[in-house]
Amino acid sequence: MKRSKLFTILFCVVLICFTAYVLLDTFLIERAYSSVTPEESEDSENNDLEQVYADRGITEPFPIQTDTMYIDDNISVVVTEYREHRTTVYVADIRLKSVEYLKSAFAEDTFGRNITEKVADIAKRKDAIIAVNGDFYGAQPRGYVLRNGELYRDLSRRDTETLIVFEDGSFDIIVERKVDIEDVMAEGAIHSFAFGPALVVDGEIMVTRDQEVGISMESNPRTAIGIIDNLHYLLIVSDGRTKESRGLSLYELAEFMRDHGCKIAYNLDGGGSATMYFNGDVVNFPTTNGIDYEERSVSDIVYIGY
Amino acid sequence: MTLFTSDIDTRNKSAKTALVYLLVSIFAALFGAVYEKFSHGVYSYSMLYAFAYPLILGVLPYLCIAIGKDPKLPPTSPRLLCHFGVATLTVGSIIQGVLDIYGTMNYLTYVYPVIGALLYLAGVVSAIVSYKKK
Repeated sequence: MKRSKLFTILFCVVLICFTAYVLLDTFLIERAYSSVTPEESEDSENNDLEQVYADRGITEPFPIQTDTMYIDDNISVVVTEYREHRTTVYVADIRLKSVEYLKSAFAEDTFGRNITEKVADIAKRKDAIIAVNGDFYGAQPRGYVLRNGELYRDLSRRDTETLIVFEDGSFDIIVERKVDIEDVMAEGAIHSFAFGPALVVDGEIMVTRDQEVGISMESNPRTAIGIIDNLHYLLIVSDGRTKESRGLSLYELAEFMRDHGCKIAYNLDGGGSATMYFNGDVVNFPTTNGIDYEERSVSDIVYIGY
Repeated sequence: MTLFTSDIDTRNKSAKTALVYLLVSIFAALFGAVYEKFSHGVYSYSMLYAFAYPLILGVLPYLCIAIGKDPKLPPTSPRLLCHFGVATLTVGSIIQGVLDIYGTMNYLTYVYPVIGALLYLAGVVSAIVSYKKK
């Protein structure tokens, strides 16, 4: 065989192998960096909610649970469906007695790359009352990850607007390259979500009419979180990419959240990830391709629960 | 104008190589277009312009040799290095596009433009050196 042919074959093999490794490393190879020990593991195996609440001293009034409502002593969640811009939007109006009930959980209770699980599965394991997908931190090698008061990643991502949740229940938006996460933690930060952009700040819309996530052009399924007042929050998921629901642009989402009273609103991971789970079921129609309804496995969730 | 047989051979060979690069460009452009079509409006410049590497670094130089006054093909080794460079840059651009559209990133993708550029540059430099030696 000619020397040049041999080199060409060798080069092709190296290029193919390297490319295969890049794709596997990006999408498949799991890398666990740390695991989270469940606070009270016995609860996660106990599906008897009455017993869980009794154990926690919640008796009067006993939780009221309907298809659209959950109310107990500490948590009130009301889920309402809206039709906006030819899109179904699911709005969870949440009032809490303490921000300790606003939590986040990782897929497989593990912080790492390519470790994913469906929103409903994580939510069930955590006995979540309501849950939405988080910021899919695992898709990015950088970006602050602070969850439930614990810092998992302190690598800032350039120009990323990050939502910070403080221990008094308030929200703030930071730009990662300008603010050190340790400083924010010193001020009482307990959660950070790095997807963005910020939709509403001080009641003003922060996105332009044609602004999109990175290089996305179309209306899409969306997930967002907002704060109306002290310990009064909104979780929003919109359907999209289907005939029934075209999806919302960022501006439409921001407008919707502002009109519902949000002082600060923030865009979480959307597209095929957009999922809302409530009282044991997925309430929206998650889809990646607009044809099949199927939950995408994600890195993390934001949820309300004990 | 009198053309020597070796000149005609060189022109034919160059034109053939330029054609192969053109086909690769068309394939990359079609691949990008089809991928974008199914990406729900998320687009990536890396995916869109992947075809530019074989077009600019492949078709153009070989076309110049094919229609130039004094056609001279570089020796095999520099040509191979350039081919490898263009292939690495094109594949890297497409892979970067796939990751962009999915909404993720991987530092390993930085290897493609660096290695691709180095290979191409090495090819060009060694071609120049070989011309000068002649």
